[in-house]
Amino acid sequence: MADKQPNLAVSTNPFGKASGDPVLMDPEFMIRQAFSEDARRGYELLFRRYYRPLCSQAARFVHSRTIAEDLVSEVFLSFWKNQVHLQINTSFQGYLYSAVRKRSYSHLRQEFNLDAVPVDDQTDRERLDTGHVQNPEQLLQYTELYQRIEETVRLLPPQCQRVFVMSRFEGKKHREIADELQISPKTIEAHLSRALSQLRQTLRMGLFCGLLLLSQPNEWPVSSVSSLTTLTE
Amino acid sequence: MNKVTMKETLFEHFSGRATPLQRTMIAEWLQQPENQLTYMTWLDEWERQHLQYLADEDTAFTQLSARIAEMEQQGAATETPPTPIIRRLGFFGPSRWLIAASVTVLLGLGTYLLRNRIMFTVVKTAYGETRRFTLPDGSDVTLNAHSSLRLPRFGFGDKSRTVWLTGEAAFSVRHTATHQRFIVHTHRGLDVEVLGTEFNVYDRPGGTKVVLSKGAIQLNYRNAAKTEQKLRLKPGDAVSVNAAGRLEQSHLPEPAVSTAWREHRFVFKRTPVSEIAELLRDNYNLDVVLKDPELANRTVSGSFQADNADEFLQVVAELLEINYRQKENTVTFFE
Repeated sequence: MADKQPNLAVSTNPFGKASGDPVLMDPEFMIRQAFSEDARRGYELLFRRYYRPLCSQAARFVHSRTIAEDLVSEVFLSFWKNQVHLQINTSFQGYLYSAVRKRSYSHLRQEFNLDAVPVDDQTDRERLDTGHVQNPEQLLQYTELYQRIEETVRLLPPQCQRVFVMSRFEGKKHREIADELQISPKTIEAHLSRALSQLRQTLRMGLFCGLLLLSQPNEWPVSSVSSLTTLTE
Repeated sequence: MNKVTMKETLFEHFSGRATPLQRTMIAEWLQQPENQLTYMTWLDEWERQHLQYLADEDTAFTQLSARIAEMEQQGAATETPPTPIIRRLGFFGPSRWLIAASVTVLLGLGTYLLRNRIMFTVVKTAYGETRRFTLPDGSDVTLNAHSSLRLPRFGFGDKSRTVWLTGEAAFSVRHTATHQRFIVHTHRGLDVEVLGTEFNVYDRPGGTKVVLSKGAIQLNYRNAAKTEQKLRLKPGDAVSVNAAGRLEQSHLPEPAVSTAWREHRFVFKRTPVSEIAELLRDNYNLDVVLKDPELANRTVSGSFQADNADEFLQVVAELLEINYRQKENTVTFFE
C-alpha cells in the first residue's frame, strides 16, 4: 500500500462546502472551559474576544472612543465583581451586548439631561436573574436608537460633522482642530453646539414619540440624580 | 423561515436598511427566546465585520486588571485575616521545620507532576464525536473523533501559537497583524508551520498526513535519523509519512474534500477493507474481524453520510454486499 491514503473521507455533496454552516460550533467553548479551570484566564479570554466589537458597538451610541471604552470596561469590571460567569448558563455574548447597550443608552440620557436612570451593578445583576433576556421590542429599539444617532450625525453639514467627529470621537482638543481645519475656536464651538443640539433633539424625539420604551418596569426607581453635561466644556 | 435569509435580513436591519415589513418579520421571529440569543450572536458577527475603530485592548486590559487588583486589595483589607493554622503547629517546636520542609517537597513534586496540567489545556473528543471550536487567537479548529489538541494555557497568541495534535483535525488559521507563525506538532516528527490558511492534519497510529486546501504552509520533518527536511506546500498538495519514515507527496484535485468528515460525509474509491477497518478503529473504537480472510482484498466504492458507527456499518455492509455482526467493540464481517 504505497500510496495509502489514511484520510478516507471525501466530499460528494456538490452543495456541501467544507466551510459550510457548522452544526457544532460554540465559539465560547474555550472561554467556558478556561473559566472552569482558572477564572482569571477565562476572564482574560472573554475580554480579548469581546472588547473590540463591544467598544465599536458602544461608540455607535455615544460617538466617543473614550466614553465607549470606559463603558465597556465598566461592564467587564462589574462582570468580575459579581462573578457573573458563575451565574450565566446561556451565553456571555448576550449578556455583554445587552449590558453594554444598556449602559450606553443610560449614559446618553444622563449626558443629555433626559430623565436619568442610574445603571450600576445592581441592574446588571437584575438582568442576570431574568436570564438577561430582553423583551424583543427592546432589542430592536436599541438597534434603531444607534441608527437614529448615526443618521443624525450623517445629516450634519460636512464641516460640522468633521468637527464633531474630531472633537468627540477622536477626542481632539479645540486647538488641534482649529489648526487642522484652519478655523477659529469660535466656529468650532458653534459647530459642536449645533451637533449636540441635533443629537439632543433626536434623543428627545425618540422619547416623546414613545418609540423608546427602554426603561424596564422592574428597574430601579428613577431618582433625581443630577446629571452633568460635560460636552461643550 | 430560512436561517440564511433571516441572517441576511438581520444584517440589513443592523445596518439600518431593513424595511418596515422586514422589521415586523424580525419582531415576530424574536418571540422565540432562543432567537433572541441568535440576534445577539449575529449582532456580534455583524459588528466584527463593521468595526468603527480598533480599540487598544492591551492597554485597556492592563488598566482593568489594575482596577480589579485594587478592588480586591480593598476587599481583603476589610476582612479579618483567618488565623493561620501553622501557628498552632508551632507549639511542637522543631517539627515545624519538618512540616515546612515536607510541604516544600510536596509542593515541588506536585507542581512538577501537575506542570502539564497547569501549563496546558487539552480539548478532547470521544469516539464518534466531532467538535468545532475557536482558539484564543481567532483560529478555527474542528476535531475529528477520538482526537485531542493540546495548547498552552497562558499566552497563546502572544508569544507563539503552538499546538500538539493527536488524531485528526481541520484547521482554519487566522493571519495575525504581527504575522505570527502557527505551528502544529504531530507524533511522527512532522510539524506544520503556517501564517494563515486552511488545512487538514491526520495523525493516527496508521499514518500521518497533511492536506492543504488554501494558502501556503511549510512542513518541517525530522525523521528517526534526525535528518531535517523542509517542504513548502501549495493548495491541493498532500504529504504523508510512509511506513519507512519517508515523506510522500501527492496532489489532490479537490483538497476541500479532505475535511468533509466535518459534515460526517464519506466517499470511498476502491478503498480496501483494511482501511475501512482502520477508520472504524480510529473513529469509533471498533475492532474488525474478517471471518473470511479473502474479504481483506475487497474494495469499497461509493459515497454516503453517516452520523454514527451503526449507520456507517450498515452502509458499508451494503456496499460490500456482506453481513456483519457486532458484539460490544468487535465487528465481524462475513459473506
